[in-house]
Amino acid sequence: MANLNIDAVKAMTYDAIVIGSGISGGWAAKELCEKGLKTLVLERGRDVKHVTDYPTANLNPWDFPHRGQVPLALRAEYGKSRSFMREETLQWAIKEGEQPFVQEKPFTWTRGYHVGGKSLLWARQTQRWSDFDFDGPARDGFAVDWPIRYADIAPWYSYVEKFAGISGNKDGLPQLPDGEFLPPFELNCVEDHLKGVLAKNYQDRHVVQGRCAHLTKPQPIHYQQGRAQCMNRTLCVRGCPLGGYFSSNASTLPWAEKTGKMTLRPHSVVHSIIYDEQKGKASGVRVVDTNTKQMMEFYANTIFVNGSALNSNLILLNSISSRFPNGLGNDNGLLGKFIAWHNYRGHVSAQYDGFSDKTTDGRNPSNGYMPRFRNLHRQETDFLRGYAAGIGAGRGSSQNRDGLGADLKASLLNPQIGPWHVSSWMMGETVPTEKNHVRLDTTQKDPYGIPLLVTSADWTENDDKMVKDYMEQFTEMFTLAGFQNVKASDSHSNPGADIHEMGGVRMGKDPKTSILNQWNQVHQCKNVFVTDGACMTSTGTQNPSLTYMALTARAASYAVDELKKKNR
Amino acid sequence: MQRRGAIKYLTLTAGTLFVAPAWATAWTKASVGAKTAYLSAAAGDLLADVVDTIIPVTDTPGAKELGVPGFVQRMLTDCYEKEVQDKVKNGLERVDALATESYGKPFARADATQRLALLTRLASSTDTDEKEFLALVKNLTIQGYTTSEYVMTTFYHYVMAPGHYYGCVPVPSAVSSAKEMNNKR
Repeated sequence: MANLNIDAVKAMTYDAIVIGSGISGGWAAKELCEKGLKTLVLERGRDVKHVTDYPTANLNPWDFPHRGQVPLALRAEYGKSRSFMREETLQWAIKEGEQPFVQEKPFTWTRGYHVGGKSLLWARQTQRWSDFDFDGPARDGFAVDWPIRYADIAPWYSYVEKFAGISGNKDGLPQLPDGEFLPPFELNCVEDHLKGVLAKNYQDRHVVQGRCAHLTKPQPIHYQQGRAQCMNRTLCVRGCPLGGYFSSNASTLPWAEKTGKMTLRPHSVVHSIIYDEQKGKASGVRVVDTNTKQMMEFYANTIFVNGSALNSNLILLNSISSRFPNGLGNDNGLLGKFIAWHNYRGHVSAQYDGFSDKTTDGRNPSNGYMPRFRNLHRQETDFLRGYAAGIGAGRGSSQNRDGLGADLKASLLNPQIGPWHVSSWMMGETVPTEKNHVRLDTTQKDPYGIPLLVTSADWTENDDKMVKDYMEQFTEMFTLAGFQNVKASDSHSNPGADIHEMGGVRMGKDPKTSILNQWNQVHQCKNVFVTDGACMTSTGTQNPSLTYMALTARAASYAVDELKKKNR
Repeated sequence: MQRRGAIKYLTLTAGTLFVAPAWATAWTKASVGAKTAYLSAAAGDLLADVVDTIIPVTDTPGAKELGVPGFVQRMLTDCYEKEVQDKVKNGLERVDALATESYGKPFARADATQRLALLTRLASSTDTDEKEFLALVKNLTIQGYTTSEYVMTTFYHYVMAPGHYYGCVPVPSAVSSAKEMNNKR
């Protein structure tokens, strides 16, 4: 009997377990497998195979029976959720009741519950952080000091950029460090005009092409992944059959699979991490199989937590043991606290009558980008930190829809090109505060017996001031550029609507004030690494995925180096 | 032998491509709607005549030939609440009643000029129900027509994969290069 048990445990034992298959989990899987670790990748949702599981990727507009609109009966199955509620993307939507959560304050939580997670759904913008971001908390006196600086992560940015394939222009801006770039998409006439006007009028306001994870000129490493050049379809959110943009499905997961070291297990909701009190480290994870609703255990000596920011918080909070009665690694009581996100509330739009004889041709998968200019070198406004902004211009066409019969038909068949529209959207840094937190509900549980997550996060006065400044500054800049009909608005959207929620398991130098060390290791449980958005000490203004990728590759390299040292 | 093995493997792989996994039922043409139409066959025929009057055949196909009536009815059946569906049902009855009143025959047997005149009257009717009925059917007709394969490829130069993005080109070339692209396909 004893032998049987040993065999049973052996069958469930791996060298490493990765919780989550999204953008950071995919990287953890690739790195750990490449370094020879037998790795179990757990995903709570269903499997999504590259190409074959993108059912709408090659459909034309007329192929959709309701031209994208979701029928009422089908809609009802998804409750109040509005995410991906289109025929094109319904396969990514989450059904009502899958994972209820308690909004102590309104919070928008967009989740990707399938293999690949949100790496299939992201905006694909990949700006690097700089020391203006890493220095932020220490300089401005909030959160805790980051335990790393740009120099620590720069080589890892290069490492992941080369593999993922990032298009961009080398702009030589210290606040937006250059990377390993494939050719950029181009700015259009109006974006370029704005760039010129701002360069003349300001020292510090730069319009560049947003760096993005698209293969504008695939290299051998990308062809080896089975990916091909981006064809400017801009149907990315359906899944790209060309692998024209980076996703776990197109890139890291098949790469990991090729090593023969990866076991991918979909339909596996992680309940908690098992802590071995004798050995003083984690020994595995408890998983609920979503088909059988049975609890199972898997074991490994290295555990990477990449469940997406809030779910990684949830897993750690629910990992209760005698040693850690308040959640794994939570001696200081800070687990789940200092949740932050990006402030996407501000929007400024305008029209432009210039360049009336010019237009664009084809489609742009990226957009213009203005890196942060507020409070960059020193504090100069009545709010902390600042915002980057996306900028996009283009011309639409429209048809006169008046009348009926042959007249109407003639109008419809003769679309008229409209004026240039310009729009800008803010991407502001929010300052993490202890009050903004997530925790476990003490009574309610989800269908898998896991306590519900309570979200308690709200805007602060700092955010309101920042939105106001963004609206004023972009109104001024758009007016200087000669744009007309400039309109600024504040959407007052919920926190989380940006889909950039971060923190709760922050990195830091001191175990008294942080959960993770400079290698994303839980201070008090060194064989557990958290490398998704949960680890973020502050948020910067950049779309965060590239930073998660770099942190993950760096942490995986460190984890394996440490293993080897002990083996010696 | 190795080659044969490879072919066998390919066949198997290709075979699996066409087996829809269980989740794929979340997206099939059958699952996104396509219930039984809520209108009777006669009302459906009348709707088709209304749709075809809104966008008639000229030197190019009209809405009916492009399958727009089916689209309009599918939208009404699957995407609208019962009160809106009833409004359209009543509107269609009103169309026939008005035709009989004005021309002494049902809408189907009225000539093109009479049909157009009747719908034009509804479009500017002081009766909200009549006006809303026509506005809704007209909007759905325009949506179905302008997103039909024929109109999108012939007139709007729709290309799924342009393969490029040029940020500043003279206005006409956008149209001509899209045409060129379509012709190559």
